[in-house]
Amino acid sequence: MRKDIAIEDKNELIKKYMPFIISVTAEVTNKYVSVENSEELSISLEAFNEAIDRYESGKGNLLTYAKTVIKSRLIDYHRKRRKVILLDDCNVIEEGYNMEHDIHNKEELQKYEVILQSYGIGFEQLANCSIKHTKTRERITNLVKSISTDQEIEKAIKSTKRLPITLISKKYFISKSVVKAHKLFIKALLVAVYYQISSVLDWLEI
Amino acid sequence: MKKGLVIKIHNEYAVVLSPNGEVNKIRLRKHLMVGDSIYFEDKDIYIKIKFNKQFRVMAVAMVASIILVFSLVAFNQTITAESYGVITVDINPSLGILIDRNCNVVALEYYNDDARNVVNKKMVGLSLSEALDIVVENAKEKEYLKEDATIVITATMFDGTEHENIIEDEDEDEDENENEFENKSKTKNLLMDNVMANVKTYQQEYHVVVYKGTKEEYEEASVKKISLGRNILNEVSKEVAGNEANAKDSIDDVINKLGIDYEKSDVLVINKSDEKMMVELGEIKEDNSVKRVKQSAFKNKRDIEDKTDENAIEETNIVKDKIGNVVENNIKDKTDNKMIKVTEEEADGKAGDIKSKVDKGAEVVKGKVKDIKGKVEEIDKEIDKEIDKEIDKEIDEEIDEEVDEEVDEEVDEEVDEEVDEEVDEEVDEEVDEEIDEEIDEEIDEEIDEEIDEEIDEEVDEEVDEEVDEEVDEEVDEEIDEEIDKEIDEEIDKEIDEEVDEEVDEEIDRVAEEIKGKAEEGKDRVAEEIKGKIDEGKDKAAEEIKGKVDEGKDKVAGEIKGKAEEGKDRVAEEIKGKAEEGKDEVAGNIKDKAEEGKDRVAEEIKGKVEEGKDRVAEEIKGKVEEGKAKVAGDIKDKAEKGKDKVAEEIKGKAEEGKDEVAGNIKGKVDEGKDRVAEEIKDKDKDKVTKDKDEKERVKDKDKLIEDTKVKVSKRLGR
Repeated sequence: MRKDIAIEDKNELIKKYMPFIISVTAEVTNKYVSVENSEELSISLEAFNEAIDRYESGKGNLLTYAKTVIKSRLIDYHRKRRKVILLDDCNVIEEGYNMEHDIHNKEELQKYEVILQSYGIGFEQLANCSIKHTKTRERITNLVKSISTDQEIEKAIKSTKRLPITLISKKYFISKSVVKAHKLFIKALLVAVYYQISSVLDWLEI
Repeated sequence: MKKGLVIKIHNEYAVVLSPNGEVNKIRLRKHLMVGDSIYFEDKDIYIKIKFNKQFRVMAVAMVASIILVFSLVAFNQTITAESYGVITVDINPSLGILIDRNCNVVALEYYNDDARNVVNKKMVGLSLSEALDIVVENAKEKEYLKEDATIVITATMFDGTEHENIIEDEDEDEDENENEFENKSKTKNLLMDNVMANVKTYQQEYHVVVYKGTKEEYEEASVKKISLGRNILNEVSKEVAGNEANAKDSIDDVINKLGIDYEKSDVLVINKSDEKMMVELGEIKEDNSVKRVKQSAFKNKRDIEDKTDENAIEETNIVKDKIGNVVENNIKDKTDNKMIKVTEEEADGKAGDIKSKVDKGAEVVKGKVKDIKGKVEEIDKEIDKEIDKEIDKEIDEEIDEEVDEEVDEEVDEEVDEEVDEEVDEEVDEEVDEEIDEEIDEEIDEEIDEEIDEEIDEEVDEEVDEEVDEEVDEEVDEEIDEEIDKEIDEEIDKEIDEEVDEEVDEEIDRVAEEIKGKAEEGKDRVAEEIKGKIDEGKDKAAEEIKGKVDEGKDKVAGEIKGKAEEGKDRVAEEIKGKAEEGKDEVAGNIKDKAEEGKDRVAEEIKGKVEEGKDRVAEEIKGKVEEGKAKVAGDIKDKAEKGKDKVAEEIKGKAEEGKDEVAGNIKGKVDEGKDRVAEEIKDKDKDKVTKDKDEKERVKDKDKLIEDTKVKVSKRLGR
């Protein structure tokens, strides 16, 4: 790898190895990497970039080399940050701008959990019956999208706290067994729509 | 790599929601909060280990076996801490029974898989004797232990390190042995008693080999992961029979290879000291001590070996090297001094005693065995019952719970569905009826409308088309043909473009007039038809046709009339205009032609004269140019020729001159001389002769002048 490598190629490489970079970052920091504004991830990306620049074929596998570079940059960053925090204790809370958003999300999700429980659904249950098949998932999500504006069904769900399986299957021409199999998922999503749990809806892009 | 929104954090995991709707549990990491959106990988997904009953048993077994492996590795610590001694039993199942100070089982060791089949669930806590009985009984049931098979039992106490000869020798050694016994602790005797008491019962049906081992030997065997009994048998077969036992050989095979004949009533005792290893036959006494009954098997073996062929000798030599001379000497001492004494004579005498004793003992033992068996069976049954009950209860409870849950869910769902369906059906029926009625009405209306529209459209179209087509075609054809033909005929080639245009315009105008009229007629007719159609659709068509025909005829008649009128008029106008036009045009052309002629004639004359002058001048110019050039050429050539000729002549003239001059001089000189001499000679004749001479000179001058003239002439040429 030469230094004059084209920026497009570099971007391509970074794009291709994004999962790798995230994985290494998570491994080194022992934290999950945040989707939005992760300072650590940006440091890892810089480190990966640096690794591409400095890599020579004699240095062994690129990824192994990149991993060491990322690791050392992250460690440097943490060391530096610790010093900064020691210097002024007042600014221990970093990324303050994000806090409000986080708290809002958290409160909303907790509310969602309580509501779901009143419908007899726990998050754990939801995780256990999560739809693994991509196509099925898309189908069900689309179904939920079309059901979500149906007043009749909304009334039925809110009053009985149960999913009107027969009604849905008749109205939307979907077999009962399919609705039945994914009733928890459908119900949970519908509840999210009815109670406007925006963080969930935005996330799922419904 | 997936994205996830953390929606819940649990003690052991976090629940995340992916943008595609997938919900997963992931393992916890630092700083994870509800509402975070994070990246995670498949390896982060939390997997809960579900403990169902089977799995629980397996897990316990696995843990137990892991502990066992560790206990084997870290032997010193675990064994000595809890256990006091170990009994190993080899049938084909091979296992070790670890016991405590009170000879109760504390643990079991399995050296092969069969061993697990010959133990009961609850062995720990039983006495050694019971445990051994259970093992042998199970082995018999599972057919590991057939009649005449061999059981190898070893007993090892971890705090007794020395080898002890468990065979009591004859009187000579009795004192020593008693002394030894006194030194041993009580528990030691208890262990031996236990083992020997059991061996006594076993030897009625099977062959029994006993060995008393040391802790070190036991550990050595443990490292090899085989039982002490198996290990010692291997050693014996190596040293005594000269070939190492194969690990896969059964116990019986190994014993048979030793080449020892022994009966059930005898116990095969392996004795090993630092110096020697012996396999001896012994007899168990009332007090569980063992007494040697026959000669050492080792000795027998050695005798046989001495007689074997060279290969055998080589092998024995190897063995000899190993064992060394000391061993041989010892053996010789023992056999010479002691053993032979004990042999046949005493054996014969004692055989009767032994047999009777054995028989008695056997009966007693059999009775005891039966009692014990009965007890064991009862205990087994009770244990089985209790276990069954407990298991049943647990299973019932779990099944009940699960069944209840499932039944509840299903009942709920089914009830819901049924209610839903019934309600649906009723609603459906009502809805259906209403819908049917409404639909019927709507359909009727729509059908009516559509039919009406279609009929209207079709009638209109047909009428329009027919009227249009027929009128158009006929009118057009007739008009076109007639107009064309007549006009064409009447107006022939003389009519030029202007005339055509006018005719066309007129024709167009007439056609438009005709068309307008036709359309007016059509419209009128159509209106009439429509009116009639409104009155009665069915009849309308026929009437319309009639009227259309009438209309057509009328219109066609009118049109024809007008067309002919128009035609005639137009034709006459056209004729008039055409003739006027012809005359006018002809006059114009004549005038223009004469004007043209004059003009052209003048122009041509002018041009001809101009041409003449120009040509004449050009010719003159060229002639003069030619003359001048020719003259120049000629001059040049003449001068060139003159010069050349002049030079030639000059050259030749000068050559001639010189020559002539020379000749003349010579002749002049000669003449002079001669003249002078003649003058001298002829002084006298001078006066007379002067005259002659003068004349001669004159002649000569003349000659010279002549030549000169000739020369000049030549030169001039």
